[in-house]
Amino acid sequence: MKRFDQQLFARIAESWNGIGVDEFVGFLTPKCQEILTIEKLRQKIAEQRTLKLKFGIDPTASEIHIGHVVPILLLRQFARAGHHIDFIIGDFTARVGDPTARDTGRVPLSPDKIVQNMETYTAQIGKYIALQMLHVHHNTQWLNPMTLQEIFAIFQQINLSEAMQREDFRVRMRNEQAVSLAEVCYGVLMGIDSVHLGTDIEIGGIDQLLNFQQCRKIMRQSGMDEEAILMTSILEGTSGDGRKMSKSYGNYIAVNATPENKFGGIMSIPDRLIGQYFRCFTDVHERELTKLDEFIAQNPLEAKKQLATLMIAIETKDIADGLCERESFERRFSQKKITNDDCVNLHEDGSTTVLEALFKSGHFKSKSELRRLFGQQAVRDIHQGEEAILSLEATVDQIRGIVRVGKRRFFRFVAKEVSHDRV
Amino acid sequence: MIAYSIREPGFDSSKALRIGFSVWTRSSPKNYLSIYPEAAKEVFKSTTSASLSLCALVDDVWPRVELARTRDEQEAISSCYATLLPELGFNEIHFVSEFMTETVFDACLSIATKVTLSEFWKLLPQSKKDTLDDLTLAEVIGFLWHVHVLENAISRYKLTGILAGIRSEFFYLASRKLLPAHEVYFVNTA
Repeated sequence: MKRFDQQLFARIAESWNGIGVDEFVGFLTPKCQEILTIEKLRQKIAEQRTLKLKFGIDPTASEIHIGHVVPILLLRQFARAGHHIDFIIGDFTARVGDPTARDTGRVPLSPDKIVQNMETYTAQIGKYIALQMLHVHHNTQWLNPMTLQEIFAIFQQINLSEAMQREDFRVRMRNEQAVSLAEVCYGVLMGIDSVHLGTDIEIGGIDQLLNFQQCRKIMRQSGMDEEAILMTSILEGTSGDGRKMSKSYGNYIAVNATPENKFGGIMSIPDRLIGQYFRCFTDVHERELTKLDEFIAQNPLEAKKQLATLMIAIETKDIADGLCERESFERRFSQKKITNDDCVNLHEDGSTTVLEALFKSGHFKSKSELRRLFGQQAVRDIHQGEEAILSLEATVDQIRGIVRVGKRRFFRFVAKEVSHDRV
Repeated sequence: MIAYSIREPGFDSSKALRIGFSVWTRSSPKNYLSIYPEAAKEVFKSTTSASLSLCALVDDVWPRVELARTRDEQEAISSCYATLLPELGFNEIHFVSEFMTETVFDACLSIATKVTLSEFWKLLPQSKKDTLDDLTLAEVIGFLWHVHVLENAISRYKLTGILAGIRSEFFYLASRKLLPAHEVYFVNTA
């Protein structure tokens, strides 16, 4: 049997035009935490026409992490099956602020900031989906010209108490945190987007559930066939403490990270997350999950390496890039062979403390961060395959080999050239 | 007659008073409206202002939308206001349809970002709170529209103050922070 990385990589280039309902749904479900409803999804796919998919984002952040990519990969699966992708830039809704999973209100964005964020955002998702597959819309196009009568007719369909009883709003109000009226309207605006576009299937994170329910209701009450909704799970961060992947928790892998850091980031996830990451980032089929899980249980290290290889290959469309990164990783970690290319060279006097020298290198935010790493015994002197833990007081002249900080950062101390003036 | 008023800090009481009064054309005008011109005179007496203009802001848009009236039906009711209000002593009559466009979603949503759900709940009359299950989000749109109308009217007609029934007290208190500087005079309508 082929290795999972080779088998799943080969699948990336497959065309899914004319794919059967069961086969297609089997590729979709591993990425979804919830589907509203599976019957509706199957019914739509069985109609054997080009379906209209909708994916909306509020351009609230410029830099994204791999957790944001999961719905994009789901969209790509639909695009490969020949379906139509409407990509909504919520320039109208961004000014309102999606209240989803927020414990405080969001600061509405200026139009300039929206444009700026979108440029950075599309450059990043372009690594995972061909941008020409996306039919890009700005929802100001149809929300701005709406008349008072049209707005009234739609808002009249949603009960105020229903909107007020959203669990996230209740929690915020209980904690005396403000919920703006605009946030109350957010789900309705999403519903108007779906009605306008005649959406068949919408894709988003599970945290959008309450908004999606309002969307479906508005479509139903507007006399349309309600959309099916595929909700991806919220990716858990690399630290394995159960928290979602987030820049603010520092447990993320940035889409713009170097291949080395991306590979290393995947290798740092706890074993229990390997299965979730495989489901989220690869085209694994539902019927292959048992075998995949058995493989992960038997050889988690190998599974993680194959996953990391795939993560690189999905982006560059070349498995050789992933395998090259794997080789480099194995050389550095498994075989403890570190080449000059892996290291940052530092020129310091022998009497300087390693802490001071590392801080001056500019690779660390603060001395506190470094002190914490020393405290965690994460700063080591690697010499001839042996590792020695360095203390806070260690000086540069005590280093025998290469200094490794954390798992993936290497520093070599190079003797300072003697100035002729002082001779 | 004036229950209380909220004065604008630094307000020059000698300048011309231009007081607005907003009325919805939900039904044909009632005679109780005469209380407002009288209240305006009372406000005027308490200042050293040289002149008083009382401007009626007649909302002929929202009731038409809310009650799904035809233009002709609305026109019939609006014309009653156009006849009665000058007789009662209003100096200027401005119909909302004359100075507002109907594509106001953007403006309404901007206002909505500045009002909290709790503030909105507070301004609802008890009768509406008692029938919460029947209320829809259109109630929110009605509130936003009304604030937007006042926002436009205050700027366009250079209003220095607003006359309001005490029963609308919470609406005017909540909307005050969203509007250009103005005074509010609450009329005891009980």
